[in-house]
Amino acid sequence: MLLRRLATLLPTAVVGTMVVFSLDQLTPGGAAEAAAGPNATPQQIATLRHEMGLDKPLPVQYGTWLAGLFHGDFGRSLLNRQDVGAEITQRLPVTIELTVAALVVALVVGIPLGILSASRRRSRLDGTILGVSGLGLAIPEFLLAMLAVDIVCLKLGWLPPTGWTPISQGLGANLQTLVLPALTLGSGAAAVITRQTRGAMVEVLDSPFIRTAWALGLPQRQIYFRFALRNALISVITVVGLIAAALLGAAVLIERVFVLPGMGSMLVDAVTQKDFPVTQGVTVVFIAIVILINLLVDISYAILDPRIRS
Amino acid sequence: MDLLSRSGWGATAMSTVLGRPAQPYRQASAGGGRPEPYLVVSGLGLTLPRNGQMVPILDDLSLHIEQGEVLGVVGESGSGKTMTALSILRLLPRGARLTGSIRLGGQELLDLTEAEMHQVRGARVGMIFQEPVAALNPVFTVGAQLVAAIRAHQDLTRSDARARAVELLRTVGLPDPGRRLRQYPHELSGGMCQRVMIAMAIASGARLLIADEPTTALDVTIQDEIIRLIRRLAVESQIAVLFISHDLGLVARLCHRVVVMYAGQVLESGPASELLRSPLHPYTRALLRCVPDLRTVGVVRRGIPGSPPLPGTVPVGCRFRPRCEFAAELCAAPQQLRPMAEDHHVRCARAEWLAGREVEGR
Amino acid sequence: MSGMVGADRVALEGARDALEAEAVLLSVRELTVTYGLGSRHPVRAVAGVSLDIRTGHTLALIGESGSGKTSVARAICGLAPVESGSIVIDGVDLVSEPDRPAAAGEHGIQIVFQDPTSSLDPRWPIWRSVAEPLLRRVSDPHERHERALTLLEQVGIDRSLGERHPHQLSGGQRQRVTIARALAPRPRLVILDEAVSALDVSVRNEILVLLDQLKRQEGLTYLLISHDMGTVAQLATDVAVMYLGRLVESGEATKVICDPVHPYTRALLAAVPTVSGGTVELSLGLQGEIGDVAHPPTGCRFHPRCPLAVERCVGQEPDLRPVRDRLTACHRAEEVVGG
Repeated sequence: MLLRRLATLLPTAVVGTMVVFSLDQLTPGGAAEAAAGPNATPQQIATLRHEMGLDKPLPVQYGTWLAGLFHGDFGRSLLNRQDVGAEITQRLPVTIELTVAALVVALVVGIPLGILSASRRRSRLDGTILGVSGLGLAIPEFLLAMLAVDIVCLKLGWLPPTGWTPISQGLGANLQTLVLPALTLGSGAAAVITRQTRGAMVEVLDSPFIRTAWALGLPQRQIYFRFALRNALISVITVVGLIAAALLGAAVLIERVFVLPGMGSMLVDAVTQKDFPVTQGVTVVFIAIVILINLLVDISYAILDPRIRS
Repeated sequence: MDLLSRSGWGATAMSTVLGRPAQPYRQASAGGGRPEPYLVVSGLGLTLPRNGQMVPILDDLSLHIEQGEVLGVVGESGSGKTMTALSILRLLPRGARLTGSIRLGGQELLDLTEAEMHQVRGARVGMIFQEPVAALNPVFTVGAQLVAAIRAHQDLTRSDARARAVELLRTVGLPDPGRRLRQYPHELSGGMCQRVMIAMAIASGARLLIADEPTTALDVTIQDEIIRLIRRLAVESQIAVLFISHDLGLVARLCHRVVVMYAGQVLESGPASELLRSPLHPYTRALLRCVPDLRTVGVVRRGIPGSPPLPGTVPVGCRFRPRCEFAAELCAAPQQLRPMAEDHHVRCARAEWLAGREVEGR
Repeated sequence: MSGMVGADRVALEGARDALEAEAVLLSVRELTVTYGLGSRHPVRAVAGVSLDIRTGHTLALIGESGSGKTSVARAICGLAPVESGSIVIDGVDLVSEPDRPAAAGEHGIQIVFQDPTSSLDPRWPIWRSVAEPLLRRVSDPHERHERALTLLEQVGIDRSLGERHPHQLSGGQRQRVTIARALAPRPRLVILDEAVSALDVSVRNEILVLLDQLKRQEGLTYLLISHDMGTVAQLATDVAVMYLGRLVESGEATKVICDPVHPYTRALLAAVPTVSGGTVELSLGLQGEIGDVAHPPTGCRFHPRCPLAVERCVGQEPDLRPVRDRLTACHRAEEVVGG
């Protein structure tokens, strides 16, 4: 089962990058134009294009890149000539840390709120939680991020507005630069998890086996947090797989707002400047991450639900 | 005797109706110095919120069970028999209102707070349900659930609880108990799951077992084994059993006494042998007529035309009146549950007339 | 039991004699139904079953979980995968037809399922559900509507209720609607797949009375699938008992129910709880579980639970053979009968 999942990585990556490459080519502008600058002459641009290899037929350009990929060579940026692979390696940990932190925030906030909501169905508390989660869903993360920067960083001065301190330079400092990005990025995901948990718990709490638990006089806490939750988590985990992909996408914008040196910023620049080796490279890595996360989700199903193992 | 009876394979002839009831309950006013039965329900009323209104579900419900006795509660869909069980356990939806009295081992359950009641559940009352596989948690092993049931009311270490779990599974007749503990509910058959449920229900020493249609979803050969088990537990461990069923044949085989329910009321109650041989209420008679007799093949028995009234739409007088072949003017008045013989009660104004007619022969 | 009075009986008067030498309407030979054929874990639900359904009879297929009785019914309708064997009606083998469900319908086979709620479209008024089978056969919509209402009356539902939706009817009424729908294309054979099992006993009997009436009025033949001996005893003229995919006993209903030969049939009948006593006095208390039809025991499939099992039963599967005016598959049948 694991192998089957990993085997989908390759074709998905190829198809994904092909799509990205085609989209890249379809939009106006080019790397040569961007590198040459606004005052360049058409001849200068043409020369640059030839140097960059951009005048070769499209399939050839793509093929060359793909061949390079098989050798572990992500190619070089068309604009600054830097090794894409190296650049990604440097920036990847930042994005990963941010995404994971956002996911953790979503789970730590969402699951308990969902359980609380389900146990007090139709009460005012339930309504409040549903309302707040509705806001969380509606407000785009980057907007929340900008608000947060404005209030928390600029007006209150509690945290630095931009910049990133890696863990290697101290956990405390790292957390200071991580907190706001993670919280804002995770807000939408937390809302989703809250609702999903609530829905799943409500369904499980109505099931015959939970009625058995009540009839047996099992301690209430055990009924909710042990016997009901494990069943509810199955559908929550499914959502986590979907959220992970969305988080990667939203991470891009958050990195912009907080000026974090992650892959998101790298990607935005590459797209605007038509730097396709970079775009492709980042795409491949994103695809790999999403597939990996979904693989983990599949594994957790098997751990949580014995019926799947048979 | 034919070959099969000589096989000696635990061939116990199960009599159609269990012998005389265990110590009939006499009203205190009759001067009995006897302790009251383990479970005494008196004048129980239940209303539930439905679509914004309070709908009466149970009306003036009374029954009692001694330890070691099996009481059958018989009724069709909508008669309120499951609600009776859930009322005793107080496992009712929010907004439910109970009136009357439920006394368990001398203690009034309706006086208890929810927290106190939750201590009673499992410890003094156990319940088993209709679909045994669905009634067990699918993502936990049988062992985990059984151990949780044991430790809920007893202070045992995990290993002691496991040992007790094995013992309990053996008591309910589950072969290879050690292995079963490690299995999941979906790996067991319906009959095995029901045995596990019974083990969980009696794990903490409950003296009252409520069984709500426990064999309806099981094959008939397995059903037979389960009711043997229940009878054995009742008699050997002196457990009072409330056995809910729509199957009169099953009730005849298992129960000492029977209560017949219809539209939230008790219409007749008494010893099984008497009630099933000489029913006093027209509904009981009609219900008995529906039960097929295997000896008359190819003869279709009549049912009861119409259907029971839905909760909240019950007529003022006798609730069975619209479907009763003996309905008369006096049936329009609210009917009371009256004693006809020592332990035989009926809610019908025409009961005497009907009984007399029986004697004359039809 | 004192409950039987002349007025209560809805007996098959005289019709019984007429049934004796009836023609065979549908013939099943060596039917094998396998789910997941070709996959890693195929399950053979029915392993070589042969039976004849005679015109005007009611053949009851009785068995517990895993017996395969439902698979036989579904196979006849073309709704279950047949690995081998034949199902012949009007000289046509339904198994080899390209569109098996349509072929079954064309040869006058209809089916009534257990749960009326899930077999009726909740958004349609009931007359429309009843009229659905007429869509191809009757072109005029008014005529379809009229026929539907007539059918509803025939099953005891007043035509004024025709516009109602299923959720506005009781369980018994809903089942009457599905019966009306099955009657719409004027079938010859109606398969009743646990058709009354989900109903309360008082309602169930009303439906059985209806089914009995309809059978005589419309000249129908029934294949009754049931796990409930009581229903079978009331309606069946012939009974076939199945266990783990094989037939263990078959014959006339009176004979099989009142005087069973096969140890499983005897155990089954003894286990049925009755109010006044059954046909087999001794309750054996069969040990063990029914067993897995995907991995059936060797030899006679009943041998692990059979009180009479001997060495021969473990090694050799018994054939269905005539013993005392019915067919039974037991090596020791003569001893059971003789004892």
